[in-house]
Amino acid sequence: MKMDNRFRNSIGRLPAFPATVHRVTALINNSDSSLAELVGVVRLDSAITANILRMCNSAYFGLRHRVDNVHDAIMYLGRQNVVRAVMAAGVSRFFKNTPGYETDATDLWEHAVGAALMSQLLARRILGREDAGLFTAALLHDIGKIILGEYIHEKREEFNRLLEGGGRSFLEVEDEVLGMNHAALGRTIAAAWNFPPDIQLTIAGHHRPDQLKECENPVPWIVHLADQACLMLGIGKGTDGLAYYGLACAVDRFHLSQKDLETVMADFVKEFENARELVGIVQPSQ
Amino acid sequence: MKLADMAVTNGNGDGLAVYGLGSTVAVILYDEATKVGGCLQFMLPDSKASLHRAREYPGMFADTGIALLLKSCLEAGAHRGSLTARLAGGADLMEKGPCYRIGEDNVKAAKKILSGLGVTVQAEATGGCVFRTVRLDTATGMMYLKRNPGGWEELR
Repeated sequence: MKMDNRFRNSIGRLPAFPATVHRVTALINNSDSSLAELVGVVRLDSAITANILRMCNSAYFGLRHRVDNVHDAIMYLGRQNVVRAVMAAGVSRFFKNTPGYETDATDLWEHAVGAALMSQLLARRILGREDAGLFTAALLHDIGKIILGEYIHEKREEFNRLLEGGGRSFLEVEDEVLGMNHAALGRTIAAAWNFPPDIQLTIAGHHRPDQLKECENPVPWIVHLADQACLMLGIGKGTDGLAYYGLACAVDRFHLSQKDLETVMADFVKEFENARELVGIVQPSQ
Repeated sequence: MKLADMAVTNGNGDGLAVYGLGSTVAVILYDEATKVGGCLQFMLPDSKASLHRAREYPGMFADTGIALLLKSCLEAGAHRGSLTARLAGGADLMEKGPCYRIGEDNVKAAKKILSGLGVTVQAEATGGCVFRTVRLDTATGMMYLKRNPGGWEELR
């Protein structure tokens, strides 16, 4: 999709993505890295440090000890949880009120965290394990909305008119009115922030994983299901609502029934309650 | 009100509200005579999906949630004969081939259970693919509905 310069300019105006996040991820993936190195890198970013300390005492991370410093937080969290916590702490600062979707920063962030948690529940069931990369992809899947929302707001009446008939998905209307959709725009943002190609691809295909060339990778499909399960549970509250296609092939490819999906959704509530400190790091006034 | 949660009030003027209903369904019971009102936001049609979660969160499912909501309204002083129900939510994704229809199943389950309990469904705003918010004024029994996008309207 050729991108209009106005979208490129909007991406260019975003604050720089915190280098700390990618440096921590690289250190985690390097088994020779030391705890001292990790602590040293995290401490360079005071906002991330503050958010990690706030989040790591949540029941979601299941720490037995209350921690009040970065060294102990990283020591007790474990490597994969450090990636999750640092990613959430770093990404959260970009979430803001998005007028076109009529959501505030909290709604959008709540949906991002919800999808990330849901992706882990689905991964446990489908892959038999959790996956920190999947967590990151799910956390970022709607990042395109932080920019596209402003453009939707300007064309609100046209959106309402096209959506009224009910025949088009919100994504299709975004393309029709703006020549861009939030999934494709999100992919470009992730590329500008130097996220790896598989995460970019997942963001691009989170509504239509069936249209991706690399259709065999389970990650975009799991993020698709996680996103939709959260929409069904009303986590997000945007004007786009549930106006996206549900793909029968998404559940079929993992041999899931509607009942299986319901069981995962039932497990989600406890997980979401346990993660309220993660949800709470973004405030509506931002 | 949170997911899988319920609340009952005995006409002391407290309002009840559920924000952001997707496929979940808000069941609102109200007794005009006593002004007792109750609201439940259940998520899934049948507790057989997860019996241990149903024990932990009875409000999660239509069967366990509606039974508990009715019991709580009666305990708060409502008369069974004058209780009526209103429903909102039960939205679903757009279909690309046969797909999961949790919203539709939720609405069907709620109606079947309420009918079995002898409670009439007085009004509903269900289906489609929009998020909804509902609010009950227990002093007057008036229920208001908001779609996103859209303003408040009364649900009669």
